[in-house]
Amino acid sequence: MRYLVLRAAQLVVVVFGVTVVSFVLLHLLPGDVTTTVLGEGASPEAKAALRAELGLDDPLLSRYWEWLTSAMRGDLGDSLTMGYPVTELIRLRLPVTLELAVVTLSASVLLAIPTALVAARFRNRWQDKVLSMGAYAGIAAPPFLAGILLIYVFSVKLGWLPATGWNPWSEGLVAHVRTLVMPVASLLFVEAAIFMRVLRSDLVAQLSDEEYPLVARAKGATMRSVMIRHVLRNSLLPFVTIVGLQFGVLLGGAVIVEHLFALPGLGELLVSSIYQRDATTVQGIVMFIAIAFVLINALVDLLYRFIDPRVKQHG
Amino acid sequence: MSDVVVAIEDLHVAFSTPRGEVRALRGVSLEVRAGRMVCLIGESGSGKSVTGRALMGLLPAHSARIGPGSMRLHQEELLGKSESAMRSIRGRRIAMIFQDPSRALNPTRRIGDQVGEAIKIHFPDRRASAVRAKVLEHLDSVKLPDAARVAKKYPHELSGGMRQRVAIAMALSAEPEVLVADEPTTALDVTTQVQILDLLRSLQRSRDMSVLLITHDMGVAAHYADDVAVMYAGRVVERAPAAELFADVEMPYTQALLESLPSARAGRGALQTIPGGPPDLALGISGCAFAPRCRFVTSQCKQQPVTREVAGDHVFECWHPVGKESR
Repeated sequence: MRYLVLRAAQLVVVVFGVTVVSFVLLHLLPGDVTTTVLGEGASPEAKAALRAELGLDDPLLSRYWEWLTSAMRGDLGDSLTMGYPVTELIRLRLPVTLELAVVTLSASVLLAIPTALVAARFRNRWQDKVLSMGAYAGIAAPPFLAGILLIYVFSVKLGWLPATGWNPWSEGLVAHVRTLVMPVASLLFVEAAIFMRVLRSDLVAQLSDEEYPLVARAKGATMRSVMIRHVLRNSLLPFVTIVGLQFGVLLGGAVIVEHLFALPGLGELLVSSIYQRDATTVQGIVMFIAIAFVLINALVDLLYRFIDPRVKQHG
Repeated sequence: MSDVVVAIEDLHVAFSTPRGEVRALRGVSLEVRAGRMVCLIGESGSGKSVTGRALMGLLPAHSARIGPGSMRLHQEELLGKSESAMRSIRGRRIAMIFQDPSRALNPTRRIGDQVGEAIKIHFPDRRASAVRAKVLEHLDSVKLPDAARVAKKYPHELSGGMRQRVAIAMALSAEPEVLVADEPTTALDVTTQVQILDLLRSLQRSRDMSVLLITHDMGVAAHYADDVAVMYAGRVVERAPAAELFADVEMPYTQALLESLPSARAGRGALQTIPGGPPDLALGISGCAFAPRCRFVTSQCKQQPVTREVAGDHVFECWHPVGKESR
């Protein structure tokens, strides 16, 4: 109970802080949304009229208060440039980003766990060196580079996959997967490499600092069983933490990949709204991601309790 | 001698370290007979734990060079056995308990699971209910109250003494004939130490098991051992049945260990200590390794002393023995 109260308090503080900062920053940016809506050649009078209509001339504090109070009621306002409600825009864009993030993270985790187990089991031997080198390459290579490479090979040269675009589920599984594969693949290696490095170092620490792996071997257990049944679970806390953090990052930060593959995702919407000074859309997305971040972290905390019985109920 | 269960002969083990090769065991010879408790005693770094782990085949494969020498379980040579062959021996025929019970148990698995693991490994056909019954029986046998409740707990919910009892139940779950106990009470408080050692001895007797009890505490050896083997700088320098040894110590190092026992100096002055420290095993050692700290050292001690035997089974290596029988 105390835990829930603490979490709720955290949620309020984080969301409040993030929205205030983004509101102020957006205000400080030169240029405004009227240029986007009316075009470069619009007369100052027309711009002033639109500004007045949108309420952009009101004091900053009162604008924020107005936004905040309606946000509390679930109304994030209308997009300044598109006229649609921001909640509707998020609802349209979220599935793409969410699917990209979930599929990428699941695939990365599935790739990271076995490679980390092998690397830790054979630490400092050739298996570890090959896998670690691969991981460093994955971390060092930016996703857009992998994306361009993938597009070049699979779209330009082989012609197997569409270079850009997004087929929703409604167009059939195969068509859908064909547009999902390359964006996932270009994010996969970085994510898997990060997870693998984190997990490997904790596995190695368990093996060298703790005695229970040796005790399990003294019972006659194979190294394979020692790694999977004993060491893995004890090394999972930092791992689930970083997976949770990367989930939050991918929700808003897969911008480059969304852009490269022309995916109608949340990150892409966020960046274009910033360019267009579409304050309400930016605010809405920022708040949404902040809430998602806090909720994911709460989920990770909950997972801790399943993984390690020593983690007690506290804030 | 008959009924020898474990025979270690002239065993050498060296570790490659950044400082160069460390010769941890320089020809260890040791016997463990059926149903006996053998105390392997020595200072830190004398090679007692390495001997125990070598017997289990648990030395790190990439840094330890094992051999020449011989380790036999009954007539079966263990040295050079494959990892999979050693796995079928570990836990089933030779089991081990470790020094620190708080690190020996997996913090994220229930006690019952951990005690049942060796049973599942070595008797894969046994049904879950039979494994569970065995687990409870073993938890009972180490005098844990309410075994069924303990089996459901996690290690952090138990005290240090209870954890060591669990570790013993874990080691004995597949009914091994030899138990290697590596300083099993060093991490525990004094009253708990006595309880755990008493438990070990009663289990050893009731199961007619052989125990190699590794300790640095001469008091423990004096109280619990059937046989004693004294290690110094990678060799067993004196070994004998306990009664024989304490009646007639031959090796000056053993004598010095006995004199440093608090009970031996009751009413007398300051605690006796052995001056100096054990030699660096990364450097070559020639002759008697104890010579630099020995009261009776002569120029002869620069040569490795020949192994001598007095009475029955009392073996030692020293040029200047201090006992009655050797004179």
